[in-house]
Amino acid sequence: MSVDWAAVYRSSYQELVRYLYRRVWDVERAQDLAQETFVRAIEHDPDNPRAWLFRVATNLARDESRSVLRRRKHLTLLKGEAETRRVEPEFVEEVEHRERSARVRTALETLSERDREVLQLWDAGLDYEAIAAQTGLARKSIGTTLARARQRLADAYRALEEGNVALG
Amino acid sequence: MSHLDEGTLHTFLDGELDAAEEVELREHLATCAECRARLDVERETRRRAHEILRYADPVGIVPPDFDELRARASSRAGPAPGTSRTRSSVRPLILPWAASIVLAVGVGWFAQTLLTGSGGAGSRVAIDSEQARESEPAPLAAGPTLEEEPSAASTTATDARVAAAPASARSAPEPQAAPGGGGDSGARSLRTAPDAAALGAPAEGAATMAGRGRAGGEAPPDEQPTLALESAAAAQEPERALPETVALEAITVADASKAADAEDTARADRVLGFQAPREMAAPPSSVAARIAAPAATVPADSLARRYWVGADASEAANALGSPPLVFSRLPVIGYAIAADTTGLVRATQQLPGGEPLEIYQWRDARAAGEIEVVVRAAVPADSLARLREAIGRGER
Repeated sequence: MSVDWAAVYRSSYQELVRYLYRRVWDVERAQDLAQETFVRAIEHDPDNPRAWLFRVATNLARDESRSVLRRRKHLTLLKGEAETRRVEPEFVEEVEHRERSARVRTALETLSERDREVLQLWDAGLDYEAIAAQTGLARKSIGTTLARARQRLADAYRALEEGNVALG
Repeated sequence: MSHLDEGTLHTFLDGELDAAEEVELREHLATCAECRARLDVERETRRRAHEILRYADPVGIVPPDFDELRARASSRAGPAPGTSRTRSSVRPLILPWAASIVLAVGVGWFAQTLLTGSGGAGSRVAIDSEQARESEPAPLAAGPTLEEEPSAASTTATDARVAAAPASARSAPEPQAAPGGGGDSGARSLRTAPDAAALGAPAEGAATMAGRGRAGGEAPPDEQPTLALESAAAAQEPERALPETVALEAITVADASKAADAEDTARADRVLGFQAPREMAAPPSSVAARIAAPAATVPADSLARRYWVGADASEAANALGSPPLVFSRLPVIGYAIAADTTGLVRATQQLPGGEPLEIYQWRDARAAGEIEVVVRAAVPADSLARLREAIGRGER
């Protein structure tokens, strides 16, 4: 094995979960996906582990949202129920965290899929080169995309905080 | 040089300008107060955006042991080695799942669809093994059940009992099942419950949902069925037509490799663009069928909440150690593997009416009789009876 996957795992797991969480918005699923990503990585043993991990994770998250949409026709996604059961918030802090988290989610949803992906990949620590490779955008346009994405996120979040936009 | 655009400023802030570009930018900034001010604004925007993203960081992430992941990877790569650990961790998770099958099998949607279903032709679902072929059972043993159900309301109530309380679920089939094959079949299904304690978990989940957010434990026992009934009834408003019924008489429970109708399978393969596994595998010792609600009333089971990763047939076969079990006459829509440590595999097939049929299985499920078939559609009474019969028969 050319890559020390145990080391990559230690250094990247949390980041990968954070990245996935902001795409699927479910901690357990994000962790499942992160683990699945690592399992696949170990199987494939790619040369560029980090970029590979995020590419696979992105695809898994995308499949996830597609299958979620598909399945909605036939079954209620018991997400709401699952969340209420899991939450039972005991601390005000947790409630606040959830509210902020929900606001971030709504704010992110105002971005285009591409802008969101670029922003989150940068946030996860990928450089322009890797983001360009993953998204198919020209490296030169990453800065512009990020500028737009950051601005929109900040604006949308502020609007939500001020109550100008109803939480979704 | 004209003013710096935002993209360039962000590229600079991200440290991604190349050396020549950076020199140029710095030269411009030195002479342009407006761009310096804009740089400050963009710097703040950039900082703020990433601060906002931090708000949505998940909390309480516990990375699993790396060795566990490595074991999962190696267990997938080859069928045999390194799986015992994974398997041992699977079982406790499976038990409540298997119990949910059993709870659901007895009555509920089964009974309800008996009422809504139409009569049908005489052939029946059979487990596609030589033994099953040779010993055709008495026809449609569940028929009397149908006659004994006086009204839709009582069917719903039955459903509610199943959802609400394990105890009533376990006793429910007896009062309504006529003596003979049908009731017997139901009873046998019930007996496949791995243990009584496991029955509690999924039932509680279902009760919570049926009670519209009230925890099952909070409601007095007597009240639970009422709550569930309310919920179930709401989901079945008269104007909401059930999906078109589909016939199951032509369906054979079989390994994908053992298709009774090779042409159908070949067609499915062509349509879906992949090959069904051809390797032979033993028929299941039992299959449980759960007739799930077509839309919003699916119980809150653990299956629905799992995350599934799409897989092709060979990946599914790898995860199972043998080809996945599917109905050979139905097209396979796809396979998925649970993205957790359970190794659960889901095969999704399409009923003639277009509704999905899901078969949940795992590595040792056949031997343990813990395969679950979920039909998310209304199907005719006789079709269901045959399906159940096949299940009961395979069970031994």
